[in-house]
Amino acid sequence: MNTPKLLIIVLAIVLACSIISVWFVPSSQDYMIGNTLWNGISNMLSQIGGQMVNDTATEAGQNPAATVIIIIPEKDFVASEYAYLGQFVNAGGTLIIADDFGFGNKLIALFKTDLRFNNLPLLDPLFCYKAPSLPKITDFSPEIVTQGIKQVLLNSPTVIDGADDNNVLAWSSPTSYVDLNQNGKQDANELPTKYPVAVKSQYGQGSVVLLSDPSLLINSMLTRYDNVKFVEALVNLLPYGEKKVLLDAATLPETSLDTSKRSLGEIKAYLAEPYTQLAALAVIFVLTSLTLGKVGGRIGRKS
Amino acid sequence: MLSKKVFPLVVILATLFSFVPSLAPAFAQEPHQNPETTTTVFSGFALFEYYTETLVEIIAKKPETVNELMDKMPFANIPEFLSDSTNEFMTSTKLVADIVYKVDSDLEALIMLKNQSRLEEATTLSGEISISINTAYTEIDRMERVVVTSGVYFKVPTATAESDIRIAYNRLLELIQRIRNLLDLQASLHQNLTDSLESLTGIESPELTLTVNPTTAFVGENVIVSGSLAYEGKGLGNREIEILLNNETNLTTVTDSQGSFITLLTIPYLYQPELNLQALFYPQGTDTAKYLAALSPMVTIEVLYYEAMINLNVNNRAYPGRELTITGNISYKPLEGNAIAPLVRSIEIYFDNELVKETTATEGFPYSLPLPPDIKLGNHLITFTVSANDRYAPSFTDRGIQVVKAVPYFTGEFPKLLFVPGSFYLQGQLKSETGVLDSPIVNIKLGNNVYNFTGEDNGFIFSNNKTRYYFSLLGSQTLEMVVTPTEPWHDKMVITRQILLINYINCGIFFIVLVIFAIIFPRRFVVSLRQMATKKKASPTSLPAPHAPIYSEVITRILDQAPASPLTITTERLLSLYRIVLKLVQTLTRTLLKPQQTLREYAREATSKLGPISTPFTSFTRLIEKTIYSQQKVTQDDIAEGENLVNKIRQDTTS
Repeated sequence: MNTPKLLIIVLAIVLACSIISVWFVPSSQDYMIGNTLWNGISNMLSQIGGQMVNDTATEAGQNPAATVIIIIPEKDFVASEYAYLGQFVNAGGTLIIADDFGFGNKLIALFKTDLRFNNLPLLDPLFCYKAPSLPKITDFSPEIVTQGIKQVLLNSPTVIDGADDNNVLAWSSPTSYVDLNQNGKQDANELPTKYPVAVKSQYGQGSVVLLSDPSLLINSMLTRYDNVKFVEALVNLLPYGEKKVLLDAATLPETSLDTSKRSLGEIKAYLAEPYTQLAALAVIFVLTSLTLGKVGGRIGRKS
Repeated sequence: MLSKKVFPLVVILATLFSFVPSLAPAFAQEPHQNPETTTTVFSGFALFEYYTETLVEIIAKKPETVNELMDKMPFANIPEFLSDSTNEFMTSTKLVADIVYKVDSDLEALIMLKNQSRLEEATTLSGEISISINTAYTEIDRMERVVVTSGVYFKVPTATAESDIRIAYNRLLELIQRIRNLLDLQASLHQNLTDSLESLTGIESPELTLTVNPTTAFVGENVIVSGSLAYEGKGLGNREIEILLNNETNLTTVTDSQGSFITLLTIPYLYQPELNLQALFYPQGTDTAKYLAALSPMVTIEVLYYEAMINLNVNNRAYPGRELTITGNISYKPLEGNAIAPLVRSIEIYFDNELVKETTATEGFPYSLPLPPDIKLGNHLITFTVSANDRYAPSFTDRGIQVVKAVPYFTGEFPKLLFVPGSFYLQGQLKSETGVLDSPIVNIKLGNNVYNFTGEDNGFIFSNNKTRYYFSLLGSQTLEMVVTPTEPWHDKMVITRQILLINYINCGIFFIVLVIFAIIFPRRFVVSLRQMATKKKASPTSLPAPHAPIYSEVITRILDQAPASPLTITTERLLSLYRIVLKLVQTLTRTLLKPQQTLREYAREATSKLGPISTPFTSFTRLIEKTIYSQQKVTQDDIAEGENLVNKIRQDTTS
C-alpha cells in the first residue's frame, strides 16, 4: 500500500473516531448544557423551562418583564458587553447572577448597589449535607417560605456582602462561617453567624437577584431538597405570567469537546437544511450515474 | 512506502489519538464536590456550640428563640447513633425553656395572690409551680446525659483540655449547671412564698355572694350585678368588690353599710355566647390580717347576638386585568322578638389578606374587583368580612381562587397540502373561555415564509398568504402560528401543524435534470450494447480500438515493405514469404487477423482449421516472431528453414 493511500485511510479513521467520540462521549465540563454528569446543567433548563443562548442581548430587549436572564460568570468577560443588562432590568426584567468565586462582581458593578460576592468559601459544620462545604439553608424570607420551601442545599458557596436584611431571601445557619484563610477549618477569628446567600435588589422596574452558589443549578444538586422550587421562586420573584428563562452561555467555560459538540450540532443543523440536502442529493446522483456509466462501459469489453 | 507491519500500528495509534481529546476533560479537576461521593464529616464542636447558644437563650428566658433554634435540629448533620439523643435534647430543652419562663410569671402571680390573701388560689398555683420545677430538674438531667453521651461519641474524654471540642463541651456542661442554678433560685423563691402562705392559715375568709339579673342578655345591654359581703353573718360595709368577667377585672364597686353591693354591668361586644362572672374581695389596709380574700361562686351569663351568614359566590378562576365578580347575600338566623336585620352592613373585602375594598351592603351584594394585569398567576385568597353592628356579630368567609390566563383557540382549519409558489387562505376566529380576542397579533411561520397581520376586533382573521418560491422539492413543513393577544388575561397561543409542501417548479427542474442525467451518463452503456450487437453480425471490418496494438498493421507494413522480387538474403525475404503464407491461410480458413491479435494468437486460432499445414504454419509464425522481435540477426539457416516451411505448406496445400 502506498503512502498517500495509507494517509487517507488513517485520516478517515481519525475523523470517524473523532466524530463518534465527540457525539457519544458526554461533556464533563462544569455548567455545560450537554453535560449529563453530576456537574452539568442538562436538567436545569428542562426543569424550569429555559434555554441556553449565546446572545442574551438580542433576546433581552423583546419583553423584559417576561424575561429572566441567568448568568453564571465563571469565565472572564468584558463588562461593557453586558451594559444592556442595566436597561433590561430597568425595564422590568429579572437578572439572576449566580456566582461564588467567579467574576460576578464585575456584573454587579453595572448596577448602583453595595452588594458584592465575598468570593471566600462559606462552610457550615453542623447544618450541612455530609460535609461543611455542602451547607443547608433553612432560613428564608417570607416570600420564599410561602412557596413551601423548607431547605435548600448549596455546594461550595460564598456569601453576599453589603445586603440589607429586608432584601435578603435566604440566610445560612448560625453555625456557618466564612473560611477566611481557606484551610477548611474554623479558626478563632472565623466567628459563626448567619450570612446572606441569596439577595434581591430592585433596579428600576426590574430586579437583580444574587445567588452565592451557581452549583445549586448542577444536575446532582438541583433535585435535592427544595432546590428546584427555590430556583423557580427566584425566577418568579417579579409578578408576571409565564417567564422566558435565558441562560447566558457566553460566560461559561468551554472545553475543546464542548466546542466540538457545538460545532457538530451546527454542522448537523446545516446538513438538515433543504439547500444542503438538495446539493447532497445531486452529488450522490451524479456519482451514482458516473459509476453506472463506467460499469456500463466495461460490460461490452468483458463480453 | 510503509510496510504491512507498520500500517496496523499507525491505525491503532491514530484511533486512540482521536479518542483522547474527548476523554481528557473527564479526568480534569472539578471546582465543586459531588454530593454522592463526598465523605461524611460530623462536627462535635459545632454541635456543642449550637447547644450552648440554645441554652444561653433559656437563661435569657426567651422560649420562642429556643424553640426556633431547636426546631432546626432535624436539618443538622448528626450521626445516626446520636439521632435519638438529639431528639431527646431537643424536647427537653424546649420544655425547660418553657418552664423557666412560666415559673417566673407564676411566681409573680403567686406573690399577687399572697398579697391579696387569696390563700386557696395561691395554694393551687404553688402546687403547679412545684410540679413544673421538678419536671424541669428531670429534663435538665436528661439534657446533661445527652451531652455526656455525645461527648463520648466525639471522644471528648480523650481530647486535650485545650482542644476546641473539650472547651465547647465543658462550656455546655457549665451552662446546664447554670440553668440548674437558675431553677434552684426559682425553687427557693417558690419555697419562700409557699412558706409565707402559712402566715395566712388560721384566718378565715368572709362570705361573698353574687347575683346577676337577668342571666340572659344581648350584647350592649345592662345587667344588674348584686351581692353581699359578710363575715360571721355580719355585713362588711364600705369594702371594695371587684367584678371579674372571664377572670379579668371588669369593674369595681363598694359595699354599702350592710355589706351589700349593686351595680350595672354592660355586656361587652365580645360576641361570645357565654360570659363568666365572679365577685372578688381581698383584704386591704386594716383588713389584711383579719380576713382572707373571698371569691364568689361563678355565675354564667348567656349572651345574645345575631349572627350573619354570608353566602359568597366567586368564580374559581380569575384572569389578570379582568374584573372578578363577587356576588352573594347576608342572612341571619331567625331573629328573636321584634328585631329586624340592619339595613346596611359594613363590608370589607381582602385580597390575599390585603384590604382592597371597603363598602356597605344590604342583603345582597354584587361587587366587581378589578385584578391588576401583572398579578401573579396561581392561588389567591378572597376574604369577605361583615363588620359588627350593635347586636349583629361580625362575620367572615373566604374563598380560594385561581388566577390563570385564558388559553385561546382557533376555530378555523389549516391546509394539509400546499404548493410552492402558491398561496393559502386562513379564516377563523380566535376565542377563549373569556370571549373573543380583540385585534390579536398573528405571526405565521412556514419555512422561510413569515406572515404577520392583525386580527379583527371580534377575533376573526382573514388572511391570504402567498407561499414564496424557495429552494426545496417536497416534504413535510412545520407551520407555526403564534397569536399574541392584546389583553393581559389571554395567554399567548402557539399552534403547530405539519403540512405537505410541494415545490412544483423545483420538482419540474429536478425531473428535467434527472432525465438529462439519465440520457447522458448511460451513453457508454448504450455504446457497449451496440458493440455487442456488431460482434454478433461477424463483420470483417470493425472499428479498431484507439489504444490497442494493431499487430496486423505492423505485419502488413513489414510485408508491404519487403521487395516483391524473390531470393535476396534479407529479413525482407522472410517477411515476404510470411505474407504469402498468411494470405493463403486467411483464404483457406476464412479467418482474418484481428487488429488486437498477435501473430501467435492468430496462428493458434487458425490451427484448428488448417489441418496438416498447421504445424509448419505455427513453426513459420515463431520464426517470423523471432525475426520481428528478437535482437538476433536473420541468418542463412533461418532463410533456408523459412523456405522449407513455405515449400511444405505449398506442397500440403496442393496435395
